[in-house]
Amino acid sequence: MLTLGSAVVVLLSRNVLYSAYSLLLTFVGIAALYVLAGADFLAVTQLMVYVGGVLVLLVFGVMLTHRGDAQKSVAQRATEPNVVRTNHGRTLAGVLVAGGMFALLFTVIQKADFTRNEATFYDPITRVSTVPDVGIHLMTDYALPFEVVGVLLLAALIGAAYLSSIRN
Amino acid sequence: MLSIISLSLFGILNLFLGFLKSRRVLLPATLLFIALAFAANLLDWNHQYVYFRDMLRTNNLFINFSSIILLTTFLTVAISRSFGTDEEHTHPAEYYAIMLFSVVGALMMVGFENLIMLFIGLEILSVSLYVLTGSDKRSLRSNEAALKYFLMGSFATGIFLFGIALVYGATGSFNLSAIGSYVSGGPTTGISPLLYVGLLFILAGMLFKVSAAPFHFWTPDVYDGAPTLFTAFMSTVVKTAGFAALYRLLTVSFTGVYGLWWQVLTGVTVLTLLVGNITAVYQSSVKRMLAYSSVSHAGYLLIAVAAKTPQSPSAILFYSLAYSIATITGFAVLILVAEQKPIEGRPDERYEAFNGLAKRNPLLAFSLAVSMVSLAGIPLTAGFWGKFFVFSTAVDRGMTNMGMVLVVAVLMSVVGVYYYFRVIIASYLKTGDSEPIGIRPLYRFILVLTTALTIGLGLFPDVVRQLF
Amino acid sequence: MNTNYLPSDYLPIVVQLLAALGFIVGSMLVSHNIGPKRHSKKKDDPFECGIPTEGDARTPISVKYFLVAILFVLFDVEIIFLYPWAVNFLDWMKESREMAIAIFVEMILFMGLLLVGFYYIIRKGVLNWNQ
Repeated sequence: MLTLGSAVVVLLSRNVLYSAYSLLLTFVGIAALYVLAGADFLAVTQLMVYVGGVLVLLVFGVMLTHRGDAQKSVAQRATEPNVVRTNHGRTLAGVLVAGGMFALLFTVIQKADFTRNEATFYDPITRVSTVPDVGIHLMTDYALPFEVVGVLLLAALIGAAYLSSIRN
Repeated sequence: MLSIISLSLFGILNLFLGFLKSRRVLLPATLLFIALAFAANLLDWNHQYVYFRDMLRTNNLFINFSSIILLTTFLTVAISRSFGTDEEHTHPAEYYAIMLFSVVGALMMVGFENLIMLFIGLEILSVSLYVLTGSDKRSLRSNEAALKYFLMGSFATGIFLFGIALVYGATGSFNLSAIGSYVSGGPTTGISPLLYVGLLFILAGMLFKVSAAPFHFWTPDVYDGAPTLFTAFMSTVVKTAGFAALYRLLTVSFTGVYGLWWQVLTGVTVLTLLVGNITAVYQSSVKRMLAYSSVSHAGYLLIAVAAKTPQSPSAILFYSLAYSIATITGFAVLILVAEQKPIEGRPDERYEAFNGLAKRNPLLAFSLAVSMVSLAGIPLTAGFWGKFFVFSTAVDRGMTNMGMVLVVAVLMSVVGVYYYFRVIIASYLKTGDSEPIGIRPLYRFILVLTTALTIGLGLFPDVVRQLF
Repeated sequence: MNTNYLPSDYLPIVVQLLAALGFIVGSMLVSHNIGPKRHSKKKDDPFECGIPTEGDARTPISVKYFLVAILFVLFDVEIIFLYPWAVNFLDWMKESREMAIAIFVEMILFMGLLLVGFYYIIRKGVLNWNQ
């Protein structure tokens, strides 16, 4: 409920900063959902990366942007609330696409036969923390993807440094 | 495999070469690196390796595809002389390093054996391209293109990832052959519907990356806004890698549900051909025309994927080789011509800029004409055989299935002739400025090389085809 | 090490969260509602000791902050990868020496890639705030 509610606020709020803060609640809610689904590593990752990093980035992004109407005098602007507005258009198309997607996924999930998987994959009573498993697989089966993710991060690092360095 | 590792290292090396005082060393060094990777790539010829617990598989098909990618990169880097020595605002070390990294991603997409590898490869490629698209920081158009590409691209990646997750949910594995045996073996309870939706999502993500029709809206803006050199890089390397990955994924894993994706792909193909070719006619800028033409070529390549005959891989290979070489020539000439007379600080990319090109520099005009003829698919050039092989895979599949697609494709080739010839007509028949255009030796060499390759492949297609 | 857990083990976190949020929201509500309020045009105007307002509260901050945040996210992701590795490392040490070394090298490679990027950034002067 918390997740859904704040996600709706993200969508509907016309003030970007409010959207950003309700996104925080959404992320935390998703982390809680991960915990309930038994994926504690994912939950921690969600908290650290999204809540800790991406959101800060987002808020910085809002702080960096100029407000649109430069014609108004400084004093005039100072008395107005400092908000960045978002535009809402094509709501109908968005709702249609999202609704179609939801209907599709919902029917598919209903049709999918989950009982068979549950019996084999999960032990319903004791849950083991997923962190050690993730570590073992990361270091053995998925060693190559792991190293290559390093390359990916490096490329992203250079790209970010290049694009946002201001010296030219 | 060796080529992937070496390319990553070379990319890092390239970064640090950028700290040297002299920038002259960068271009030869990068060319040398790519050539080394090319050689390392050929070492594995006729061997089959599987690396790191079924993460990557190299075989001759992999080597063929990666050779094309490396060759294209080599050509693109070689024509990148404009940010060479003097301009203060360019950072060739970063550009080259990021290009090398993106080639790493492309090679992983060609040789993947595990969906995770495909995803990471795709991500490396896309992230690098976002940066390259926006690399002209002073140009508003470049920034806009990068932002659009980034937003839409990450959305497509999200859908793609969701598709992978659903397929995993259905089959319990990321491994291509494991998924393949699940799909064709037919589990006792029947194939889970999750698989179908997952497959559709994966298809949507991949088709976005190769800019096929319902997912092509980003292409003209991004190709138009990006610096021309990187447009050439994008439209060739990404296409080759994307189609290699698409073909591999569909044939290894999803042969069992051919009936499903065949229909989807045929629809997409027809749409792509129609949209790409007909919109290209109405463009007034050569660069945008080439962008739409790359959409339409994605359509021709899709025919070969949808036909799925034993000849398909070689048809895709030949087509992407012919297409890549011709496209690079086209863009190379475009870069030079557009620079001559900037309008309001940006290069003049309209058709009119090409007026009288034959008098200003006969070599430029000739190589441009050859590349356009090749893209249009006129006999005696590589493009003709590319189209021929692609169409023959469709004929092999049977007229009842592919007949409609074939009709559309042939019609659209005729439309293509119209807009490709507009450039040739402008450069040979119309009169414009008469001041000659000078070119550097390396540039001249590359133009001669690509033109010779295009004609050579057109005259003797079997030389390369035997390798495939 | 106790690796078994239930979702209910996370209950203290929820309680803590609720207590913290409840205190803030509660005290804000109470202070707003208890105190007297008189509105007038003069009172609601922003003022700075009688001097007319100067400038904009929302001056665009430097892009450097943004860069630091981006770098933080990237290295954050790296740390996430370290976490499952560190949890297991002791077990691998006990298992066999070769295994531990191989896995250590793997991590060194990964870290090396990122450190190269870090070195690049420092050399490039991206983190240099004096200019």
